[in-house]
Amino acid sequence: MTTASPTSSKPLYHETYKHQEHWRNNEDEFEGAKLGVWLFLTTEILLFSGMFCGYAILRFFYLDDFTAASSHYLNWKIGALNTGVLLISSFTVAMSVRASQLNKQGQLMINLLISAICGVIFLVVKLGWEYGPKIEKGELPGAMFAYGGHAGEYIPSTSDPVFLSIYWVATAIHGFHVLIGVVLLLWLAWRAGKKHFGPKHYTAVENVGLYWHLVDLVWIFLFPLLYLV
Amino acid sequence: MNATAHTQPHEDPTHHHIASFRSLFVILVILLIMTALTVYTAKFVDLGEMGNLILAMFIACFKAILVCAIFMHLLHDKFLNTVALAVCLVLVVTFIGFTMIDMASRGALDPTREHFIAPPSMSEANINAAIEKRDAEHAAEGGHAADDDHGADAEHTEDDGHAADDGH
Amino acid sequence: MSTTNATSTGNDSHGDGHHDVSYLHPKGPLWVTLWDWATTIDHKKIGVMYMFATTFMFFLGGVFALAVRAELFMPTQVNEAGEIVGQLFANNIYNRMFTLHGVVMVFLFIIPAIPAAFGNFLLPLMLGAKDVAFPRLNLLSWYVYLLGAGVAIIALLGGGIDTGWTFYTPYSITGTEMHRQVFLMTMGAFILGFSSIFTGLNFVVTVHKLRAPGMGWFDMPLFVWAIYATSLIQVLATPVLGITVLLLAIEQAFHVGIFDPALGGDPVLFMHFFWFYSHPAVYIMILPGMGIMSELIAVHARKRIFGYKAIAFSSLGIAAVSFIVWGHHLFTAQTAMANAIFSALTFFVAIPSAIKVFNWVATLYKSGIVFNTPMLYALGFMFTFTIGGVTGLFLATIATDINLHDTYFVVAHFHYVMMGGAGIALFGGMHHWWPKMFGKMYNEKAGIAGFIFVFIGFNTTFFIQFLMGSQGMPRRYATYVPEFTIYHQISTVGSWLLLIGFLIHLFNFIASLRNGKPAPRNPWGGLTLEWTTDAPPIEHNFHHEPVIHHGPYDFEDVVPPFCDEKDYPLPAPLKPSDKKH
Repeated sequence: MTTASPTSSKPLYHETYKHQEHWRNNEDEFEGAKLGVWLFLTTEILLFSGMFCGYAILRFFYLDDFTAASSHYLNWKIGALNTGVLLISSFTVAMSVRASQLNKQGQLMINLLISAICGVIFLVVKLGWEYGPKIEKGELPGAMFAYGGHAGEYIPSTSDPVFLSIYWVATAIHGFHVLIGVVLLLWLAWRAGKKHFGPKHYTAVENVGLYWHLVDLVWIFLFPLLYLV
Repeated sequence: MNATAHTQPHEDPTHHHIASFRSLFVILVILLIMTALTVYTAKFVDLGEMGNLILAMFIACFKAILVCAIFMHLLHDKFLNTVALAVCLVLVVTFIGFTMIDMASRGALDPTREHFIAPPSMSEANINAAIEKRDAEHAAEGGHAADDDHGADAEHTEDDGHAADDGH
Repeated sequence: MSTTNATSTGNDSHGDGHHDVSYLHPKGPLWVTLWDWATTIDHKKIGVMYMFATTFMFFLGGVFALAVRAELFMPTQVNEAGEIVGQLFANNIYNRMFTLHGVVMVFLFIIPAIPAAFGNFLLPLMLGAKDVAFPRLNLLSWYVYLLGAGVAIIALLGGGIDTGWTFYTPYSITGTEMHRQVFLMTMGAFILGFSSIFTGLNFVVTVHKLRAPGMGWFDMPLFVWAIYATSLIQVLATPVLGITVLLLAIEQAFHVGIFDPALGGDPVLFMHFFWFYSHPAVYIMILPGMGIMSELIAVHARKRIFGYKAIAFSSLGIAAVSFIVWGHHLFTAQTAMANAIFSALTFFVAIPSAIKVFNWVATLYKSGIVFNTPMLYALGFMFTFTIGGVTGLFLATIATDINLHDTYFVVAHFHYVMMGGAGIALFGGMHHWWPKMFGKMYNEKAGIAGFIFVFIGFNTTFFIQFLMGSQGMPRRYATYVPEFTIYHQISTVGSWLLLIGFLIHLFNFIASLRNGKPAPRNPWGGLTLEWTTDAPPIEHNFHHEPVIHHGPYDFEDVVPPFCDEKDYPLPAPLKPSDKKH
């Protein structure tokens, strides 16, 4: 490729980015990719809607039991901590899009790394403080639920395993999305290190950002439904 | 590739809306406050089962709208993306709504079928019996009952069976 | 720097050299060519690969169907000597046969067949684009399809499943003995769902962003409208199938109990989940067939399609209504309240479907019908699809459905829509675009002979099933009371006629590939953009980016491109006296 700028020795990737051949221009490609990602996000929402539908129906069936199970098995403080972590990471991801639009490479890198670290914190809290103790205590979904081993006053209801089924499946699928998000954010950071993103080309930052916000959005609904009400 | 390709108006980077730091930060603060509010209302204010649920969902929807509009740039983006999201949400409501109509009307129009397909509501005595039986099995099997599904199946089916018998 | 762009030649001058050769032209020695096909991001090659894969799956599913029909040729009975007679397969083998027929035909053949094979090949050509919006995603979708198909075939080779293609709980969780196979098959369906989503997503963006300059929404061929509506359903419905089969697989593996009543879950909830996808999926199957129909009728009747906008919007209408009618599969499972609502909503599907059929009939009126294979298939479609559609209304009526539920009437109804609708449109489309895809003409006489066998065989097989079903013959049973013997035997003989028809088509196509006449660019006088490029098309589809000068169906106004005016005379201008009425 010939250089676009006569002064610098080698132009940066994002300055000379040329769209793929079948697109007409970079803008079309950017908008097309974004529309594609939005459609993908609709599929994600509909995927999670299955979990929400299951939750709604089963909660309707076991009205009081679900509330009791929620406050007994789940610690809202851990849930709230994770909510805060995800919200902050959402903010930093939005900031990283802004940084690439303004060509602030350092800020871009820092924001991407903070977001990835937040994702890791979320997963560590989830695994270490929720999944781990739950597996030890036998607070498992469905047939794996251990009725024995409950110290104190609490008498498990037969619908507790159903609540835990929804809890485990929904948070596990969500956690898997967080994991993918962290990998994508690290990939972005790696590319940002090679100065791939700038005002003229930041498609990947924008789109991974959208995905990460969706992961956050799902948690915004899962948190109150599972931990609070 | 030549330099003129990058000076065409449609590739002008200023074409895209750039969110200000202030707006993003304000949204973050609002979101965190809303999270605190939803925790507070749900845990420390009793509005009744449905009341708390509705309030929590209302706050969650408000948060979601903020995230979509500002963080995900829908406010300044092509309208088409908003349409995609809206269509999807209509379908989510359809999905949950129609399923709910079916589930919630069980027994409502056909009382004779109520005891067969009504949501399983178990008496206190049944629960205690189930727990005792399960604990006994648990002890007998040397602590591996947690991995065994058949015990739980049998009990529950039995209880459902009783409910059906009572209905007739 | 070129990592993000595998096709880019680095500059804009690609009018020379190898880009002008046909996409089928071998790249070199056999292994180089094979590697080129395996790693291609050319939508045409991916479409052709899909076509071969789905054809294979069609014959695989067909083998199971023939086996099912063969078993039903005689009722299984115990004679006076206490021997079992009339049984070809054990009952549990029979259960696997009809399940695998359903799974293979639905998930591996008919859902990918028209959108992924024809859609991939034709959509960019019809829009005047160089490729679909995300070519690499397209290739990924193909490999995801192969992976899903592979997983499903492993489940099949591991003994198959006997749950029916609907995987109803709790049988599929605790009742069946094929736990591992059910797990594999549901994971296969989950993976195939991704392939379907990727394809649909790709097409929606392509239609929005890559239309040729000057091509507005109402200048698009109706096939594109149909594929667009299909893609919307694929994107919006398939994720719910994803979560359904994922939950089922999790239930199968860990017994979490969301659908298992023994653990506090609800099996009717599973039905809602399943049919929220699988009813719209019915329109994933039929809508592209309707799109093909619009093209076949307009081109082979050489007349402007009647009611272009009505047909276009009815595609979107079907897509919209498809999402609110799933409850009619649950008339015997859900509550009376839900039954009433879903029954009422179901009737709305008839409106856009009927709009299409009436418009096709109106297009045929006073047109120049050419009775070649594609047109015969189009006419056959109108016959069979109308029967399939109208019997659907009987089933949408609760009172009749309670009687006909799970009888052969239902089997006949959906085979008339799926096979008689989507399948027949697919074969018509295959003949229509075969010259464009491979640059070879097929033998018209053999094509017509094949059509006659398929059409007669199809109706023999399935029409009798309406009678059987209305008299109470339940579906999925391995045997029946002797009174039904003659019905089943007629049906089985029909399935053999169908087989003969398909084999004629298969050999006709193989013969065409080996030594068919070279096809002209525009053998049928079509006006859509795919007929303006070479047959088979060059790698980048068009020598120059096409510009739209006329609508896709302006047969009265323009001589078709690359056609002789003598063969396609324009109609004389209307006399003033004709315009009066």
